[in-house]
Amino acid sequence: MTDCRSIRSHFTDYLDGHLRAARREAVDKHLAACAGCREEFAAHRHFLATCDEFLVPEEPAYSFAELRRRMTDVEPLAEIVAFVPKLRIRGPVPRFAVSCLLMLLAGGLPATFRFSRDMYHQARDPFLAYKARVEDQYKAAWDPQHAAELDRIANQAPGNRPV
Amino acid sequence: MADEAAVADIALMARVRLGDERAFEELHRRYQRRVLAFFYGMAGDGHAANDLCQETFLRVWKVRRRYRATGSFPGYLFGIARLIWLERCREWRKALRLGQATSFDDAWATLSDPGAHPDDRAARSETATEIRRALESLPEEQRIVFVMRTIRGLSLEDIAAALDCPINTVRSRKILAVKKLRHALAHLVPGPVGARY
Repeated sequence: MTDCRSIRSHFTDYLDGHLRAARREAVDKHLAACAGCREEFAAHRHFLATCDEFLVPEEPAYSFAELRRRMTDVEPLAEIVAFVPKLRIRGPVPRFAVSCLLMLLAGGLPATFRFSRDMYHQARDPFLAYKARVEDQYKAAWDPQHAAELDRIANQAPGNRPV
Repeated sequence: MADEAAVADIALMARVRLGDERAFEELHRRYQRRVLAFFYGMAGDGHAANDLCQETFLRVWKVRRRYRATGSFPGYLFGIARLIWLERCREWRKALRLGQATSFDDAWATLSDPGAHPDDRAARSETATEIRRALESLPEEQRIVFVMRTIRGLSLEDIAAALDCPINTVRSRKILAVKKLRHALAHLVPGPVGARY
Protein backbone atom coordinates (compact mmCIF):
# COMPACT_ATOMS: atom_id res chain seq x y z
CA MET A 1 0.00 0.00 0.00
CA THR A 2 1.29 3.45 -0.86
CA ASP A 3 2.50 5.52 2.05
CA CYS A 4 -0.05 8.12 3.29
CA ARG A 5 2.64 10.77 3.64
CA SER A 6 3.72 10.34 0.02
CA ILE A 7 0.12 10.46 -1.21
CA ARG A 8 -0.64 13.61 0.76
CA SER A 9 2.34 15.35 -0.83
CA HIS A 10 0.47 15.11 -4.16
CA PHE A 11 -2.80 16.63 -2.98
CA THR A 12 -2.04 20.16 -4.21
CA ASP A 13 -0.90 18.94 -7.63
CA TYR A 14 -3.94 16.68 -7.77
CA LEU A 15 -6.33 19.54 -7.08
CA ASP A 16 -4.51 21.88 -9.46
CA GLY A 17 -4.68 19.29 -12.25
CA HIS A 18 -0.88 19.12 -12.38
CA LEU A 19 -0.60 15.38 -11.78
CA ARG A 20 0.14 12.79 -14.44
CA ALA A 21 -2.53 10.15 -15.13
CA ALA A 22 -0.69 7.26 -13.44
CA ARG A 23 -0.01 9.23 -10.26
CA ARG A 24 -3.54 10.53 -10.26
CA GLU A 25 -4.87 7.03 -10.44
CA ALA A 26 -2.67 6.00 -7.51
CA VAL A 27 -4.03 8.89 -5.43
CA ASP A 28 -7.62 7.94 -6.36
CA LYS A 29 -7.00 4.34 -5.37
CA HIS A 30 -5.47 5.33 -2.05
CA LEU A 31 -8.26 7.77 -1.25
CA ALA A 32 -10.85 5.07 -1.87
CA ALA A 33 -9.14 2.83 0.67
CA CYS A 34 -7.90 5.26 3.37
CA ALA A 35 -10.43 7.20 5.49
CA GLY A 36 -7.74 9.38 7.18
CA CYS A 37 -6.41 10.59 3.84
CA ARG A 38 -9.93 11.21 2.56
CA GLU A 39 -10.55 13.49 5.53
CA GLU A 40 -7.23 15.23 5.03
CA PHE A 41 -7.96 15.58 1.31
CA ALA A 42 -11.31 17.27 2.03
CA ALA A 43 -9.64 19.68 4.46
CA HIS A 44 -6.92 20.42 1.95
CA ARG A 45 -9.42 21.10 -0.79
CA HIS A 46 -11.34 23.43 1.51
CA PHE A 47 -8.14 25.25 2.45
CA LEU A 48 -7.04 25.81 -1.16
CA ALA A 49 -10.54 26.86 -2.22
CA THR A 50 -10.65 29.43 0.61
CA CYS A 51 -7.27 30.84 -0.37
CA ASP A 52 -8.04 30.87 -4.09
CA GLU A 53 -11.33 32.66 -3.49
CA PHE A 54 -9.38 35.72 -2.38
CA LEU A 55 -6.99 35.58 -5.31
CA VAL A 56 -9.65 36.18 -7.96
CA PRO A 57 -9.35 39.73 -9.33
CA GLU A 58 -12.15 42.03 -10.37
CA GLU A 59 -12.85 42.92 -13.99
CA PRO A 60 -9.91 44.44 -15.89
CA ALA A 61 -9.92 48.21 -15.50
CA TYR A 62 -8.30 49.11 -18.80
CA SER A 63 -8.95 48.39 -22.45
CA PHE A 64 -6.70 47.48 -25.33
CA ALA A 65 -7.17 50.98 -26.77
CA GLU A 66 -5.44 52.40 -23.70
CA LEU A 67 -2.62 49.92 -24.07
CA ARG A 68 -2.29 50.80 -27.77
CA ARG A 69 -1.78 54.46 -26.87
CA ARG A 70 1.08 53.49 -24.59
CA MET A 71 2.48 51.19 -27.27
CA THR A 72 2.89 54.08 -29.71
CA ASP A 73 4.62 56.15 -27.01
CA VAL A 74 7.45 53.67 -26.56
CA GLU A 75 7.89 52.75 -30.22
CA PRO A 76 11.15 54.60 -31.21
CA LEU A 77 13.11 53.41 -28.19
CA ALA A 78 11.76 49.90 -28.58
CA GLU A 79 13.04 49.78 -32.15
CA ILE A 80 16.57 50.63 -31.01
CA VAL A 81 16.44 48.17 -28.11
CA ALA A 82 15.19 45.45 -30.44
CA PHE A 83 17.99 46.11 -32.94
CA VAL A 84 20.92 45.90 -30.50
CA PRO A 85 20.84 42.09 -29.93
CA LYS A 86 21.06 41.56 -33.68
CA LEU A 87 24.63 42.88 -33.57
CA ARG A 88 25.88 39.56 -32.22
CA ILE A 89 29.22 38.76 -33.81
CA ARG A 90 30.59 35.24 -33.46
CA GLY A 91 34.31 34.53 -33.30
CA PRO A 92 37.22 36.60 -31.95
CA VAL A 93 38.61 37.69 -35.34
CA PRO A 94 35.38 39.22 -36.68
CA ARG A 95 34.83 40.81 -33.28
CA PHE A 96 38.30 42.38 -33.40
CA ALA A 97 37.72 43.60 -36.94
CA VAL A 98 34.38 45.16 -36.02
CA SER A 99 35.91 46.80 -32.94
CA CYS A 100 38.67 48.32 -35.09
CA LEU A 101 36.11 49.57 -37.56
CA LEU A 102 34.00 51.10 -34.80
CA MET A 103 37.08 52.80 -33.31
CA LEU A 104 38.02 54.17 -36.72
CA LEU A 105 34.51 55.46 -37.19
CA ALA A 106 34.44 56.98 -33.71
CA GLY A 107 37.79 58.73 -34.29
CA GLY A 108 37.23 59.54 -37.95
CA LEU A 109 33.80 61.06 -37.80
CA PRO A 110 34.72 64.14 -35.71
CA ALA A 111 37.80 64.74 -37.93
CA THR A 112 35.66 64.49 -41.06
CA PHE A 113 33.15 66.84 -39.52
CA ARG A 114 35.88 69.39 -38.65
CA PHE A 115 37.37 69.18 -42.16
CA SER A 116 34.02 69.67 -43.87
CA ARG A 117 33.24 72.57 -41.51
CA ASP A 118 36.55 74.28 -42.49
CA MET A 119 35.85 73.71 -46.17
CA TYR A 120 32.40 75.22 -45.76
CA HIS A 121 33.75 78.38 -44.09
CA GLN A 122 36.47 78.73 -46.69
CA ALA A 123 33.92 78.49 -49.45
CA ARG A 124 31.91 81.30 -47.88
CA ASP A 125 34.82 83.57 -46.93
CA PRO A 126 37.37 84.37 -49.71
CA PHE A 127 39.90 85.63 -47.15
CA LEU A 128 39.94 82.30 -45.33
CA ALA A 129 40.36 80.52 -48.64
CA TYR A 130 43.31 82.80 -49.51
CA LYS A 131 44.87 82.24 -46.05
CA ALA A 132 44.52 78.49 -46.44
CA ARG A 133 46.20 78.68 -49.87
CA VAL A 134 49.13 80.69 -48.48
CA GLU A 135 49.44 78.30 -45.55
CA ASP A 136 49.55 75.36 -47.91
CA GLN A 137 52.20 77.05 -50.05
CA TYR A 138 54.44 77.79 -47.07
CA LYS A 139 53.96 74.34 -45.67
CA ALA A 140 54.92 72.90 -49.03
CA ALA A 141 58.01 75.11 -49.25
CA TRP A 142 58.89 74.27 -45.62
CA ASP A 143 59.99 77.86 -45.04
CA PRO A 144 59.59 79.07 -41.43
CA GLN A 145 60.81 82.60 -42.36
CA HIS A 146 57.42 83.39 -43.77
CA ALA A 147 55.57 82.82 -40.51
CA ALA A 148 55.55 86.59 -39.93
CA GLU A 149 53.95 87.05 -43.34
CA LEU A 150 51.22 84.60 -42.34
CA ASP A 151 50.59 86.49 -39.08
CA ARG A 152 50.41 89.75 -40.97
CA ILE A 153 47.79 88.34 -43.32
CA ALA A 154 45.83 86.88 -40.44
CA ASN A 155 45.77 90.22 -38.57
CA GLN A 156 44.83 92.33 -41.54
CA ALA A 157 41.73 94.49 -41.23
CA PRO A 158 38.75 92.91 -43.01
CA GLY A 159 38.61 95.77 -45.55
CA ASN A 160 42.23 95.28 -46.65
CA ARG A 161 42.07 91.54 -47.05
CA PRO A 162 43.52 90.28 -50.30
CA VAL A 163 41.09 88.31 -52.42
CA MET B 1 -7.13 20.98 -27.71
CA ALA B 2 -4.58 22.54 -25.39
CA ASP B 3 -1.90 21.83 -27.99
CA GLU B 4 -3.97 23.60 -30.64
CA ALA B 5 -4.28 26.64 -28.40
CA ALA B 6 -0.53 26.57 -27.78
CA VAL B 7 0.20 26.45 -31.51
CA ALA B 8 -2.28 29.27 -32.12
CA ASP B 9 -0.57 31.38 -29.45
CA ILE B 10 2.80 30.84 -31.05
CA ALA B 11 1.39 31.66 -34.50
CA LEU B 12 -0.13 34.85 -33.11
CA MET B 13 3.15 35.79 -31.49
CA ALA B 14 4.94 35.21 -34.79
CA ARG B 15 2.61 37.79 -36.33
CA VAL B 16 3.15 40.13 -33.39
CA ARG B 17 6.87 39.88 -34.09
CA LEU B 18 6.21 41.45 -37.47
CA GLY B 19 4.30 44.28 -35.83
CA ASP B 20 0.73 42.99 -36.30
CA GLU B 21 -1.37 44.88 -33.74
CA ARG B 22 -4.48 42.77 -34.38
CA ALA B 23 -2.63 39.61 -33.42
CA PHE B 24 -1.38 41.36 -30.32
CA GLU B 25 -4.90 42.42 -29.44
CA GLU B 26 -6.02 38.80 -29.72
CA LEU B 27 -3.19 37.63 -27.44
CA HIS B 28 -4.06 40.39 -25.02
CA ARG B 29 -7.69 39.29 -25.02
CA ARG B 30 -6.68 35.69 -24.32
CA TYR B 31 -4.25 36.38 -21.50
CA GLN B 32 -5.27 39.67 -19.90
CA ARG B 33 -7.35 38.07 -17.14
CA ARG B 34 -4.72 35.49 -16.33
CA VAL B 35 -1.92 38.03 -16.09
CA LEU B 36 -4.21 40.24 -14.03
CA ALA B 37 -4.94 37.29 -11.72
CA PHE B 38 -1.22 36.76 -11.23
CA PHE B 39 -0.59 40.38 -10.26
CA TYR B 40 -3.68 40.53 -8.13
CA GLY B 41 -2.47 37.45 -6.28
CA MET B 42 0.95 39.01 -5.78
CA ALA B 43 -0.01 42.61 -4.98
CA GLY B 44 -3.49 42.12 -3.56
CA ASP B 45 -4.59 45.40 -5.08
CA GLY B 46 -6.73 45.85 -8.18
CA HIS B 47 -5.13 49.14 -9.25
CA ALA B 48 -1.64 47.79 -8.90
CA ALA B 49 -2.61 44.60 -10.73
CA ASN B 50 -4.04 46.55 -13.67
CA ASP B 51 -0.99 48.77 -13.88
CA LEU B 52 1.43 45.83 -13.78
CA CYS B 53 -0.66 43.88 -16.27
CA GLN B 54 -0.43 46.75 -18.76
CA GLU B 55 3.27 47.01 -18.09
CA THR B 56 3.70 43.31 -18.92
CA PHE B 57 1.91 43.51 -22.26
CA LEU B 58 3.79 46.68 -23.08
CA ARG B 59 7.06 44.86 -22.44
CA VAL B 60 5.98 41.96 -24.66
CA TRP B 61 5.31 44.47 -27.44
CA LYS B 62 8.62 46.25 -26.89
CA VAL B 63 10.74 43.11 -27.10
CA ARG B 64 8.58 41.31 -29.65
CA ARG B 65 11.42 41.05 -32.19
CA ARG B 66 13.50 39.07 -29.75
CA TYR B 67 10.83 36.40 -29.30
CA ARG B 68 11.90 32.87 -30.24
CA ALA B 69 9.29 30.10 -30.19
CA THR B 70 11.45 27.77 -28.12
CA GLY B 71 8.88 27.07 -25.39
CA SER B 72 5.26 27.63 -24.54
CA PHE B 73 3.86 31.12 -24.90
CA PRO B 74 2.33 31.22 -21.38
CA GLY B 75 5.76 30.34 -19.98
CA TYR B 76 7.26 33.25 -21.91
CA LEU B 77 4.51 35.69 -20.93
CA PHE B 78 4.53 34.80 -17.24
CA GLY B 79 8.32 34.91 -17.25
CA ILE B 80 8.03 38.57 -18.29
CA ALA B 81 5.28 39.12 -15.71
CA ARG B 82 7.54 37.71 -13.02
CA LEU B 83 10.40 40.00 -14.08
CA ILE B 84 8.07 43.01 -14.01
CA TRP B 85 6.95 42.01 -10.53
CA LEU B 86 10.53 41.64 -9.27
CA GLU B 87 11.47 45.01 -10.82
CA ARG B 88 8.53 46.64 -9.06
CA CYS B 89 9.53 45.01 -5.77
CA ARG B 90 13.01 46.46 -6.18
CA GLU B 91 11.46 49.93 -6.69
CA TRP B 92 9.39 49.44 -3.54
CA ARG B 93 12.43 48.45 -1.54
CA LYS B 94 14.28 51.49 -2.87
CA ALA B 95 11.38 53.75 -1.88
CA LEU B 96 11.45 52.21 1.60
CA ARG B 97 15.23 52.66 1.86
CA LEU B 98 15.06 56.29 0.80
CA GLY B 99 12.40 56.93 3.38
CA GLN B 100 9.76 57.91 0.84
CA ALA B 101 7.54 55.25 2.35
CA THR B 102 7.27 53.50 5.69
CA SER B 103 5.53 50.34 4.48
CA PHE B 104 4.98 48.45 1.24
CA ASP B 105 1.47 49.85 1.05
CA ASP B 106 2.88 53.38 1.24
CA ALA B 107 5.56 52.47 -1.27
CA TRP B 108 2.93 51.27 -3.65
CA ALA B 109 0.91 54.44 -3.16
CA THR B 110 4.04 56.52 -3.89
CA LEU B 111 4.85 54.67 -7.09
CA SER B 112 1.47 53.88 -8.52
CA ASP B 113 -1.70 55.71 -9.29
CA PRO B 114 -2.09 58.53 -6.77
CA GLY B 115 -5.84 58.07 -6.96
CA ALA B 116 -5.71 54.55 -5.56
CA HIS B 117 -8.42 53.77 -3.08
CA PRO B 118 -7.17 53.07 0.43
CA ASP B 119 -10.77 52.35 1.42
CA ASP B 120 -10.71 49.28 -0.81
CA ARG B 121 -8.08 47.79 1.39
CA ALA B 122 -9.87 48.75 4.57
CA ALA B 123 -13.06 47.21 3.34
CA ARG B 124 -11.42 43.89 2.68
CA SER B 125 -12.69 41.18 4.95
CA GLU B 126 -10.65 39.99 7.86
CA THR B 127 -10.12 36.57 6.31
CA ALA B 128 -8.79 38.12 3.13
CA THR B 129 -6.40 40.27 5.15
CA GLU B 130 -5.17 37.24 7.08
CA ILE B 131 -4.63 35.27 3.89
CA ARG B 132 -2.88 38.20 2.28
CA ARG B 133 -0.59 38.61 5.29
CA ALA B 134 0.25 34.91 5.29
CA LEU B 135 0.99 35.05 1.56
CA GLU B 136 3.23 38.07 2.00
CA SER B 137 5.22 36.25 4.65
CA LEU B 138 6.24 33.61 2.10
CA PRO B 139 9.56 33.90 0.25
CA GLU B 140 9.09 35.59 -3.12
CA GLU B 141 9.61 32.50 -5.32
CA GLN B 142 7.29 30.33 -3.22
CA ARG B 143 4.64 33.02 -3.35
CA ILE B 144 4.95 33.30 -7.13
CA VAL B 145 4.50 29.52 -7.49
CA PHE B 146 1.52 29.51 -5.14
CA VAL B 147 -0.17 32.31 -7.07
CA MET B 148 0.66 30.87 -10.49
CA ARG B 149 -0.89 27.52 -9.61
CA THR B 150 -4.28 29.26 -9.33
CA ILE B 151 -4.11 30.55 -12.91
CA ARG B 152 -6.28 28.58 -15.27
CA GLY B 153 -4.50 26.73 -18.04
CA LEU B 154 -1.02 27.22 -16.63
CA SER B 155 0.74 23.85 -16.42
CA LEU B 156 3.67 22.98 -14.18
CA GLU B 157 5.88 23.12 -17.28
CA ASP B 158 4.72 26.66 -18.01
CA ILE B 159 5.42 27.72 -14.43
CA ALA B 160 8.86 26.12 -14.61
CA ALA B 161 9.54 27.98 -17.88
CA ALA B 162 8.36 31.26 -16.38
CA LEU B 163 10.57 30.79 -13.33
CA ASP B 164 13.43 29.38 -15.38
CA CYS B 165 13.88 26.41 -13.06
CA PRO B 166 13.24 22.62 -13.14
CA ILE B 167 9.72 21.26 -12.67
CA ASN B 168 10.70 19.47 -9.47
CA THR B 169 11.84 22.78 -7.98
CA VAL B 170 8.43 24.25 -8.78
CA ARG B 171 6.77 21.25 -7.18
CA SER B 172 8.83 21.49 -4.01
CA ARG B 173 8.29 25.26 -3.75
CA LYS B 174 4.58 24.70 -4.08
CA ILE B 175 4.54 22.03 -1.37
CA LEU B 176 6.56 24.27 0.94
CA ALA B 177 4.32 27.27 0.28
CA VAL B 178 1.14 25.28 1.00
CA LYS B 179 2.68 23.80 4.13
CA LYS B 180 3.65 27.23 5.47
CA LEU B 181 0.30 28.75 4.57
CA ARG B 182 -1.65 25.96 6.23
CA HIS B 183 0.48 26.39 9.32
CA ALA B 184 -0.03 30.18 9.34
CA LEU B 185 -3.76 29.96 8.64
CA ALA B 186 -4.56 26.94 10.82
CA HIS B 187 -6.93 29.06 12.95
CA LEU B 188 -8.86 30.22 9.87
CA VAL B 189 -9.10 27.02 7.90
CA PRO B 190 -8.62 24.17 10.36
CA GLY B 191 -7.79 20.72 9.06
CA PRO B 192 -8.48 17.41 10.78
CA VAL B 193 -4.78 16.79 11.34
CA GLY B 194 -1.66 18.95 11.30
CA ALA B 195 -0.31 19.70 7.85
CA ARG B 196 2.01 16.81 7.17
CA TYR B 197 3.22 17.62 3.65
